Amino acid sequence: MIKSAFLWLWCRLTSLSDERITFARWEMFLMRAAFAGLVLWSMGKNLPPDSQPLPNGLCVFLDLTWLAQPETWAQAQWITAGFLACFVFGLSGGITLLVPVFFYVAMGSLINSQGAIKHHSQLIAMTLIALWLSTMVACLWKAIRSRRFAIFDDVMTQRIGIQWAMIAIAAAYVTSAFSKLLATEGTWIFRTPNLAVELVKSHLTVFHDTITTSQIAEYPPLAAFLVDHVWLAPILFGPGLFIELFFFLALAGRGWAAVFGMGAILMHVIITLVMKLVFPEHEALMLIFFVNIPFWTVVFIRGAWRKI
Amino acid sequence: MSVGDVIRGFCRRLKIGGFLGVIVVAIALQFIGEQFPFSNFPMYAGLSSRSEFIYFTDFTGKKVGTWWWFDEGGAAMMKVLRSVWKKENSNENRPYREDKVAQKTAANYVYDTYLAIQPKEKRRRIEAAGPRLIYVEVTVKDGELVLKETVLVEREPVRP
Repeated sequence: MIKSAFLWLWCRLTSLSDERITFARWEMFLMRAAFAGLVLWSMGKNLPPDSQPLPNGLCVFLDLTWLAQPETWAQAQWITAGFLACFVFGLSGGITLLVPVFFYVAMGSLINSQGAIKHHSQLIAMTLIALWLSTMVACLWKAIRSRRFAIFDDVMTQRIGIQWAMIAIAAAYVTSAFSKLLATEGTWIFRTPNLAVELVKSHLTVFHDTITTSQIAEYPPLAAFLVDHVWLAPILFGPGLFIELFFFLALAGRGWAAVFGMGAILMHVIITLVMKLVFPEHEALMLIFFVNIPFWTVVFIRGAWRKI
Repeated sequence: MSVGDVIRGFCRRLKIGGFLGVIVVAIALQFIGEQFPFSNFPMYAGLSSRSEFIYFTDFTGKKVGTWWWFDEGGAAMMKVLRSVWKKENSNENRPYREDKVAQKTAANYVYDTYLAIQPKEKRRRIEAAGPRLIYVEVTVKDGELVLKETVLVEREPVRP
């Protein structure tokens, strides 16, 4: 039974194809629109800090503090919105995404130049860069071959852009798994009981961030339970490592993308519940590019319609 | 046959598709490390048996929400403290955690830096409260969670 199950799984895995998914125009339009909304929401969350004491990213090469004035940042958001609107309606990503990439990377660089590396915006920035670079290369390639420059991205270029956006996101998860395995010499799962101290840290940090009365600091009962029952942590947190490590399989087709997308969202939700850390940007990217709710809704409605 | 056809044929033969693309980008991210917009996402990678956080109190020992004073969470401030602590470590051959002087210097840097960017009125209110920065180390000893607190910044209340 187990042997045949493994055989079936092995045959399925070895026959997987990682060819580009043939997204329809309307799907890609919705993906671009939702992604543009996410970028603008992320930019509007905070005014970037107006100093760069420990430069990181673009701040290593440039002084970007001029961007951190309220009026300048508001203008940057309006300009970004204009370019993103052009991108959503199909204008070449190679041209329209350059400005959004600059402002977004500048914002993230300023935030990460304070001495503390935050990981909220890297995934959006990498997706933006992947979309920009891939559509630019595809557009240039086509222009060289046909000796004609197209101001609008054709359906193939749009698909290439979405595929590379998915590759960038998937690579972030895979590299996160690599980091865990490299830092622990492959023993990460066996060290998961140590997450108890991280749990206490994250709960008490959140507690002390917004304390208003003389509440008593209590750490979550799960932390003590993990210390007492060391076998529980690998069961609870181990699957997350496997989702990250094998996230490249999400490129194997719509079904795989949806399964891994939902798996990653579930992983983030569990981390939020257990450690009080939130990942709205990551979950939104999963919904937009991997779970692809509009497509599955259409499939479901068509199926139901045929039955009628 | 065009150059494009040759490259496409080569890629097909090498099976350069989405899977390999992911692996190549993932390896590149490992090499680049933490340089925005790139990252190797090392959150909870090491999983050591020790963790740490900070919080603030006034001179009477009453806890004060970090956000209410500094518009920033304790997690980000702890990261700044740690990076300055590493930088201030006087002996490269010794783990930075053993340099207690560097730890105090880093904590004072964090407090002064975040205080300096507050509006004048708020700054006065914080200084009048006689702030203390408490560093907490969380460890597991003999199957028990142990929290050890150290006062790293201790300022006298400043009368407005």
